[in-house]
Amino acid sequence: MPMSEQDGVGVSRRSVLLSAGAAAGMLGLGGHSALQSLTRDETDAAVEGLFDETQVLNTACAPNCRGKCPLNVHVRDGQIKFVEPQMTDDERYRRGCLLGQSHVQRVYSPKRLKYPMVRADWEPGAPNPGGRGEDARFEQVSWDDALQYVADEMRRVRSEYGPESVFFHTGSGDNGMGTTLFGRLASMFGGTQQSWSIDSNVGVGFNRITGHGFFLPPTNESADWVNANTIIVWGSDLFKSQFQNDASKVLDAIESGAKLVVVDPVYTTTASKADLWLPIKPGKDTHLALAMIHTVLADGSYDDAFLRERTTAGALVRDDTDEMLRMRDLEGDADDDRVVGIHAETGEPVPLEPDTYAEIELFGEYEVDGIRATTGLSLLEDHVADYSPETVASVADLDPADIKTAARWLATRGPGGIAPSYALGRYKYGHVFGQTYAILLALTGDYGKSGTIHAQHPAGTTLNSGEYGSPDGAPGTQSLSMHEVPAALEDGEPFPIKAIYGMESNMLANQFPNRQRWHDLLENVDMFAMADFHRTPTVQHADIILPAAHWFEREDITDAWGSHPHISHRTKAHEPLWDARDDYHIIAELADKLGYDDLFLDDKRAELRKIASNDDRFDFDELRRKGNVRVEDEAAGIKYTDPFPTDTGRIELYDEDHPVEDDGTVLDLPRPIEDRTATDHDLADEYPLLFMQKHSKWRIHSQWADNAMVRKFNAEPTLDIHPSDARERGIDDGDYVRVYNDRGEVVVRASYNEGMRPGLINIDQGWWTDDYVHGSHQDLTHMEVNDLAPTFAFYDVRADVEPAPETIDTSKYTAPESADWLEGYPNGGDN
Amino acid sequence: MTDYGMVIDLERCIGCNACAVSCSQENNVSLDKQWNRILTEGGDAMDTPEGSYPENGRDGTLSMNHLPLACQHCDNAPCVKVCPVNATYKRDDGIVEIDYDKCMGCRYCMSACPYNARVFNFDEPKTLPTDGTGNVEERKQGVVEKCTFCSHRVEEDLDPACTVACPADARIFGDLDDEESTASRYVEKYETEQLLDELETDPNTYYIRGEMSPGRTRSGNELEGTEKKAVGNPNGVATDGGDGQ
Repeated sequence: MPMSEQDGVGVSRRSVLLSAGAAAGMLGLGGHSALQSLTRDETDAAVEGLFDETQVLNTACAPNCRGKCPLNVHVRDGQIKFVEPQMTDDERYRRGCLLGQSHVQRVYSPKRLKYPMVRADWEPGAPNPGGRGEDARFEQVSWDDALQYVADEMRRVRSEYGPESVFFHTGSGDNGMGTTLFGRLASMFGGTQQSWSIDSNVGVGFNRITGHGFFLPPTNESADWVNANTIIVWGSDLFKSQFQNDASKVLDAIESGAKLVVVDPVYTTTASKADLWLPIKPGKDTHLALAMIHTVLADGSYDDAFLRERTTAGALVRDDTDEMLRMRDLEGDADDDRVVGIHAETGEPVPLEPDTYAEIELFGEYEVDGIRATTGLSLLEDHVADYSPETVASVADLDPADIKTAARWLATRGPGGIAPSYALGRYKYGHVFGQTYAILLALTGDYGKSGTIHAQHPAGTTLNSGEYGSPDGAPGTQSLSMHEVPAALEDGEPFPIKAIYGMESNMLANQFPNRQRWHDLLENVDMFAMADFHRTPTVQHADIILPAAHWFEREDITDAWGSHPHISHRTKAHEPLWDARDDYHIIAELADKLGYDDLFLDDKRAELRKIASNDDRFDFDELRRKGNVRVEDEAAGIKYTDPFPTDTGRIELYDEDHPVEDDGTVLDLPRPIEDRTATDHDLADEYPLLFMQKHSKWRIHSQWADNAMVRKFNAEPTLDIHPSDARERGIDDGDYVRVYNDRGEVVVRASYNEGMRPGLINIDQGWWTDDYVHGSHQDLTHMEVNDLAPTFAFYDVRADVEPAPETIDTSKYTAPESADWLEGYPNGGDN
Repeated sequence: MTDYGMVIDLERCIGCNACAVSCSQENNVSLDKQWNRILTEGGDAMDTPEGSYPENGRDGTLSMNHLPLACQHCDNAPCVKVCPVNATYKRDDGIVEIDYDKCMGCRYCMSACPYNARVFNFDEPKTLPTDGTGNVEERKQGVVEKCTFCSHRVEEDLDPACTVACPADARIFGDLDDEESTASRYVEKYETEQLLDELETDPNTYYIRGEMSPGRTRSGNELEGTEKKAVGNPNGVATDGGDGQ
């Protein structure tokens, strides 16, 4: 039967939803489900007529991973039954991971929020912030009341403190148009939006050299990675986390003969596939990259043509000022700020143009017009003399021959590159590593070619929404970096924050370090509203709870920053369950209540069409039909082909700005700086273990933590610990342990792992507070940031471990009546 | 004749569990059971190695591999031989299947299977949502179940769910009787292993170990012998952005 004639699907969907809403029934195990009773009779027929009865709709998964995978959703009897990778416009990108393919259990999670709710002891003018937290109780209210509370508080705060005191907070929870819509409202209202202090570390260091990068720098699209001859995966388990959807690309490169090098203190799945694994000591990454530079220079295996054409390797640096010699310093025009090299044949000074080969000396000290100067490459060569492979091997606990091998493969095997993840930036001074490997890849000439790699973050595409986010008459927003928010909350500096509306975020469980401190800081806020589709710990901490639709319950457009070159479409598979609403409708109604009646069209599809009309690379109707459209051409998938956006248009090996870090280290050339990873750190004796919280394959940040299909495989948080560290502390495999430091503690089961470097422990991030028998991984982390690229240093943390106290109640895992992620919350959405 | 089989490249497998999840979804497998398990060849815990950590960067002995394991669809299947009620049988197309109406839950087949590929519903299967997520026949308490190579999909000319789900291109499904099928070409070209071949069960599942295969890339390669299967629903893909639902 053609789908158009099958109107029964729509009817049954509607009645299913009405029944479920009226009964307020849980979809959880053991509970009687209205969905079940309505569809059971049809089960046999459904099996026989499987593909006659099933609609396959396009949608896309888009948490903040490297996937953003277009998916097919199979819908039958008004229920989502199955999810699979969707064929993509460029078929090399049809892929998905276990998370994308377990959305059924996300949509039908017992932790879905059902109704708008307000904390029972909150009211306008009497917020009782002390009542927030795990024991807070909520009362169901109408949408109208909930949004009126939010609108009234936003207006009150604006008039009492100023518009910037209203904080429009988003995490990275979805890559649909939600943030774009939200930004439009924030701009019109004049509130504050945050900028990131997470993972913007390595990229900032890379930027100092190349002009590219904030988060990880751009890199070629993943389909090009097969052309790499050497891939150095640095501090990343890319086959296990965030990138496994593109595993085929890396595997194809290996199959074609590429060498895979993995630099990681942990023996990971990725390390298990490597030709060479460098089991580095944590915090020594910059040392290692400097030793690789040392090797390339000592071998003379650098790409001299590339250095002459696209870098300042041969540019002279004045001995007197430590700044680059410029044409204006000679007899040139006073405005001529071109840098200068020495021509190899004439010995005369010549200006260096962007991306223009110049036959110049790469090494040497010269005197030009009475000015003594040295080439940037000579300064670098002198600098790395202190970082020979032998010296670094003893610091980083590696074998010097392996360091040389890695460097030689990179330098001599043709195009290749380095793919760091965000882990390196989770050490306080990770930006220095960014600076260092940007220089290393310049020496090996690995920019702007097919097969060159710079990050675990392949070229994707971003929707061009034009001026949509800045409507006419909008005052615009203030910006606060995340690490600046505490001072705003606590001291009102640079301005107070008194009302927060958050969406697509579970910051209080996973993304903000030093969790207890944030709870204290939030006591200064009068109104904290959260929109989400699950009852996360952050939602539990809010005053006003706004139940949002799951991604599959709304029409939307997703783009694929750092992922793949397609724009994708989401079809609404069914109406939002219970009283949940598309974020668009929540935001549009809030705008109405704030007096911005004309800000949104009140028709989501028309609104999407309006946003999409700013991007001439695709047609919205075509996108809706096809599900995804490749919008970037192949050439755009190769990065760094244009002149570098630096002052010279070249990669600047020597940084004449002389950036200075908080400890006084000058970074004209990369110098390793360490915080808590230093063996002589003040805390090293008291807290001898380094504590990291890696991404796992089971979650993207904290998403999917409540997913029954995923918990089937990964039921409980654990501490990965080397058996030698555990035995020394009297800990057996599987024992509950207390992980602690001077800020907090968390209790989890210990899991012996021979692949953990002794001295390093890990709890996979993403677990919700209530998944722990006690504490949270973020109770141990801190908010200290560097000066030059301020980002939270989640892994630069020291701790120790001991057997858990006998008094800790572990029965939720050791003697469960039923796993709690399969049940409703004690005061869940139906009260 | 047709003899369906599976090739799994263990050099490509990254143990990501996408196939395991997709299998459970498609086949409505209970949340406390698993037909398709991704075993770690290494330490005791999932995704951990065996051996010892290097000292001074060298001389470590750590090793780890992943082994996806489900019903091997043996030609000489021990489970078929021991079933007293002929509930387990080998189909003409090579798939070993269970007639759940005949199964009386004696579990002889579970003892006989050397691959531990079968599960038994001691209780009512538990799924979320309650009435199931899959596209297959309901299984009651008291019956044995296992991988069917997604026979219901194969009959619709689709690949098994695990094969579609794999982001590493590590699985190839096809007709081993057809020498020109992609699956046959992989078996022919690469060194493959049938698990526990000393037991002479003659599985229809072949594992590549040693040299990595190119995987079944979306863009094709010289090993392509079978036309690639569609994904989605050949009868009902929405081409209207969902307007017709």
